[in-house]
Amino acid sequence: MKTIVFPATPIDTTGLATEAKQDVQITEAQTANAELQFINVELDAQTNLLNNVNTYLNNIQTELTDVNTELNNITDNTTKLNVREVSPFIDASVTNIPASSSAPLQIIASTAHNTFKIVSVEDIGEFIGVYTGAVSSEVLVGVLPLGGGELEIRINPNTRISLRNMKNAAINSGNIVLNLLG
Amino acid sequence: MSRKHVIHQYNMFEGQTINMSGNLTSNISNVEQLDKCSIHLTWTAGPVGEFIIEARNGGNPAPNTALPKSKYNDSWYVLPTSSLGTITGTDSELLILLNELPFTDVRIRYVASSGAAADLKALLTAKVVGA
Repeated sequence: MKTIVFPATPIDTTGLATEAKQDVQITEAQTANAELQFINVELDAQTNLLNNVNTYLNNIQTELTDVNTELNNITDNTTKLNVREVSPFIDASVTNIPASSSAPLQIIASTAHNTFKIVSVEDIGEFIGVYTGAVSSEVLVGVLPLGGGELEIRINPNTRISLRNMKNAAINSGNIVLNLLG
Repeated sequence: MSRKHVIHQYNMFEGQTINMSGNLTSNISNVEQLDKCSIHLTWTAGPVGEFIIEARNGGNPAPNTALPKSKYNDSWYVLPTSSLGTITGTDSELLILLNELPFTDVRIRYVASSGAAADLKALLTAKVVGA
């Protein structure tokens, strides 16, 4: 049976989870949720910025590596040249320098350093070509001055060097030695 | 010598023709000498409406010719009860507990929404507490 009472007994809502308080809590929770979503968006933006910065730093590192390589090349190119290697002394009467129709004579199997200049010392006085490359694949890279002299040339390390007369006649007299400067 | 006032039973709609298809107003009950009362309303199920408990602080005409006339005719006001006295078509009774009677007269108004003729009684019983 439904019962109604006078006076209506007031309820002390102090500390109780009333509907009004729950509504307030719901509103505050919704506000906090919206702020957290905003913070999440900001964090995503910061992450993207950091990723971009990381990419830029990687690019800078690559560029610096290239700069370092170039600086090393500059160092090599600007250092005062010194004799780095000397070829064996060739006595043409013992070891002929081949004619142009023959295979070149190997004098250095594999260079140890970068070469920027060859200074030849010889008393042959013929047109002698300098070749680089493996057997049967020799390539003419320069011709020594008559009677000796300087030939500015770039030869990488681990290169095979050979000699051959530019004329089709074997050289069988005189002596020659090569100074490789780097 | 202490006195104790009691009302054993009184039908607040005594002498009225009841038709719950329309609005009704009960007789006035004077509760000046009383502390507590209850009103048990019973009717034949079917009507839909609302019972409203009203009180006043003195007024004319007095419910009983033996009671003194009031200098001022107070208007009826609705008592703020714990819930409304609404009834549905399946209800057939309502209990009203008045644990304090800080007024002179009380009555019941019925505001009809829908219904038909029904036998309605509003039995009031009251007493003085601790007299």
